[in-house]
Amino acid sequence: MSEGLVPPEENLSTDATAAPTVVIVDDDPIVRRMLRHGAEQAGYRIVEFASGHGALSADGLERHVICLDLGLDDMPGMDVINHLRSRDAECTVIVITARRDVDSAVQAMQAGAYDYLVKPIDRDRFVQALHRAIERRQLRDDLRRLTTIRDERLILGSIVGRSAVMREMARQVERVLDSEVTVCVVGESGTGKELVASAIHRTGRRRRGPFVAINCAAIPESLQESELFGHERGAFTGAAGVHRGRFEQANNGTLLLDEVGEMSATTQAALLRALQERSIRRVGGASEIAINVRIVCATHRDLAALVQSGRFRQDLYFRLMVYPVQVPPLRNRIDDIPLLVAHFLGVFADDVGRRPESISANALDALRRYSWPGNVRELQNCVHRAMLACDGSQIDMAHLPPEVAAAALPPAPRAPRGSVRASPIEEPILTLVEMERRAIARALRHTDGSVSKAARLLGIGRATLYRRLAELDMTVTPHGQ
Amino acid sequence: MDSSNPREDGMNWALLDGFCANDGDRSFLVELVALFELDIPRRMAALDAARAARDIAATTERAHSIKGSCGTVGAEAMAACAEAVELAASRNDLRTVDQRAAELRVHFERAVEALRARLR
Repeated sequence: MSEGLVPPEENLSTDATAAPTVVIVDDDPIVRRMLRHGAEQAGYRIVEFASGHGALSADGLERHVICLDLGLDDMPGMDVINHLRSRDAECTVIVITARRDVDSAVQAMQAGAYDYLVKPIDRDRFVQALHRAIERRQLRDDLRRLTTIRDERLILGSIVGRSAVMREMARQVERVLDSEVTVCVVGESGTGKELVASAIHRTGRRRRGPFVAINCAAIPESLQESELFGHERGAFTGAAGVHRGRFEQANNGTLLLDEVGEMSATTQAALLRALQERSIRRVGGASEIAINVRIVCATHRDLAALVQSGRFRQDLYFRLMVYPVQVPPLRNRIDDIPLLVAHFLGVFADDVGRRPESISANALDALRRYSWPGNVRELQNCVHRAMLACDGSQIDMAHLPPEVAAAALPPAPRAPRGSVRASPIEEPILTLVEMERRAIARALRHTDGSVSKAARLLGIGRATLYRRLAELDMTVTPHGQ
Repeated sequence: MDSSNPREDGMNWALLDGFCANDGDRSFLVELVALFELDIPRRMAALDAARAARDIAATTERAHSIKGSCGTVGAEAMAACAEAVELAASRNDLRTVDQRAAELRVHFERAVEALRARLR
């Protein structure tokens, strides 16, 4: 009706951190002009829409404070509220209604509107409603931001790490906490995939339900189905009673399928069926049991490659790989090593019966330079062993496993007394392989080529030394290399 | 701005005064009066068209929208007249609809006169 008088619509800010704007949705240009003036005088930024459809087509409308006329020409105001709340359940709407339509205002409030104004609108009442609504919106935004930070901290809380890659991973996980999306945690062995899965459960909306994990690699193929779905009495030899499988145990909670790439073909088919039907049948059972489980899976394998080679079902792959989360290997987060060491010193203090206070700079340097093929689990073992070997208050190079100690830079040679100090020339940085090669050659020279003695000196087994000699293409002569 | 007796000019100035309490509000008032003078005749024309077509729903709707705008600027007498048209239309009382719709124009002229007087 009055579209010709509508001023050009301004763009709504989509910046989530910007202050909320007051959005006026009313097909009456006189009412819009009055409200714009009142809101601008109160210091707010205004955007106007003359129709419900126009407003709903704007990006990010729901994160602002919306003054909505319930009697729009193009669509019922209640429909606009319902659309807005489907985008954001906490969206702040002030409804505007004629005096005889107070029932609609009540209905709108029940549908989630924050406040209502009756026409003709009193300026003070309008500005007061805006102040309250904006304050509420900002509180909600602040709360949301704090919740995000809290979730990130909770996720990282159990995973020990503050490096950029770990924070990015936490942000990635945070995005799916409040959903039911299937998450696939991918990473090398020892990176802490189960901890990530557990954090998803503990911080997500199913945190009050059970968290059940099953390691598919640790269960023989013949027992995988029974473990996952349970069995009835007499289902097979030895099935003396009814057994509730992991799916049933995890009902209303989260089920972690660890090492999912190791699942047998039969179990893969049964799992796919369970995920599609949202119900399971115990082995030997006749009835379907409904299940309500969030699935998180973990693997160190390249599942796509397993699909290519025909060892993993493609349909199951697509079901599980909805939201992959990559856990970085320790070599990509060496900044976390001091934090992890401090953590493990505390964890093993009781077990060891004492707690070394610190770790020397050299030893820490070695830890940072080592490549950690076994990731955090290897670092954990390394710290544990070093604590057992250390009698004093500081862990030093001597307490580290030889392969880790070998990663340290050789100590700088001392200048002879009275000599003129040479200009500092940095030692060239050697690759770990080259350092290992030199350490082995030195040990063999020292032992006149005795592999057994050299292995003892290096702190490794004779077989390991032979293997490394072959891998490094080194030969042994009676006088060493 | 002083508040005149609403019975004389059909206006409730308190509503408008609430929106024009600060210095620099004159330009807003000028714009609002111009908008009122431009928009309300269009809506009255739409009301006339609905009446002529004997379209009860459209007549009710048009009268309702005029009532809202007039109430917003404080043109109470005109808003009351529009409400009478709306109620008569909802009761299918077309005779009263036509009578009161004719009165709307008089109320409009008075409201415009009163609003312009405010600008002087």
